[in-house]
Amino acid sequence: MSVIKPEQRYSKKEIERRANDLLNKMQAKPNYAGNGRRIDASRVADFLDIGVVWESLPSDDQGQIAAMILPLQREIVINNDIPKLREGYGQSTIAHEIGHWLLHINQEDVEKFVDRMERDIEVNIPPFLCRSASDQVYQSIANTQIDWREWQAQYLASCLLMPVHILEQAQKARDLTKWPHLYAMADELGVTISNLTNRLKGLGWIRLTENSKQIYLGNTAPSRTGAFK
Amino acid sequence: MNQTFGRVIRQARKDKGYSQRELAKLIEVDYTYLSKLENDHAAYPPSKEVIRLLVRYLDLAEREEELIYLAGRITADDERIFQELVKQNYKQMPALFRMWRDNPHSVQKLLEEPIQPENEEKES
Repeated sequence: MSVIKPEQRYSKKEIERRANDLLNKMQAKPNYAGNGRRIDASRVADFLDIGVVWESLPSDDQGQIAAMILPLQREIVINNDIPKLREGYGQSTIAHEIGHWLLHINQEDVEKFVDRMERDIEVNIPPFLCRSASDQVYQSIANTQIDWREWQAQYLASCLLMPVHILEQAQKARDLTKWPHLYAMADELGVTISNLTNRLKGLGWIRLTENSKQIYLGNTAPSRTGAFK
Repeated sequence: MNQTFGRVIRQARKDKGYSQRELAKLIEVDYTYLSKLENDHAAYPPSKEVIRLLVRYLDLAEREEELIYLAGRITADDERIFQELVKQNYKQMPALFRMWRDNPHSVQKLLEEPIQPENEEKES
């Protein structure tokens, strides 16, 4: 028995559309609209009526567990024992789990199982575990079904925390080829520098070469296209 | 679905538009502890001071007593009555608690008895 959807290849466009759709729905509710450039992933979880709980998650034979979703309990559990999860990585991890919830968990099946549970019928649905919700996901080659799921969830997390319209505003009066400017942007958005550079690379706003810290402006960078000056 | 302490405060926090971290700061607890309270995972019940601050910041004054019980605590009045009863019946108390735990229907029946005639009067 599972509530995990079979493998499905979502396009980047489709994932971005889903993230924007969710943000637009939140924008329409005064309690969730937000008033800055920083999107709080825990508020997104609130909006979806998913609980976020910080707890110790013991490692298993495959290593450390960063987070997990308990679909029937509508809970995201974040590992309290990993200090870096308390800040930007934590935001990214919660958003990553939301990505799994939106893309990979069959909501209709969840309802059916919850209904069974409420009628005292024994139901055993394993948690959806995530070992790493960091930038490693971006760098891995998505060969297996699990890799694809991880990549998709992380891409949705990036779209959710760094929607294009917010990036457009944040990059104004900043030079995307300078690291201090990127760090200031990451800080403003409440994300890690890796999250931000991966997102900007994905949008084609910047290019980074291997073994060099030099940043080059990408072809679609706002200052190049002049669209957002 | 049964009401729990966590469900009540999580819904009230959302209604007030606070994030977990914002509310945790107001009630002076770590947000990880608040997250456990909200999901009914806390290893120990919240202190009376935490409940008082939750009631204050979430505008739950009307539900304060209910929250105290849902948290697994008792009100100050009940505490006084409880202490008197324990002192007077210290030998019988353990047996009473075990009976209540093992056979909750027997106590439930006792609690319902005084209410029944009143209800019947209303119905007639």
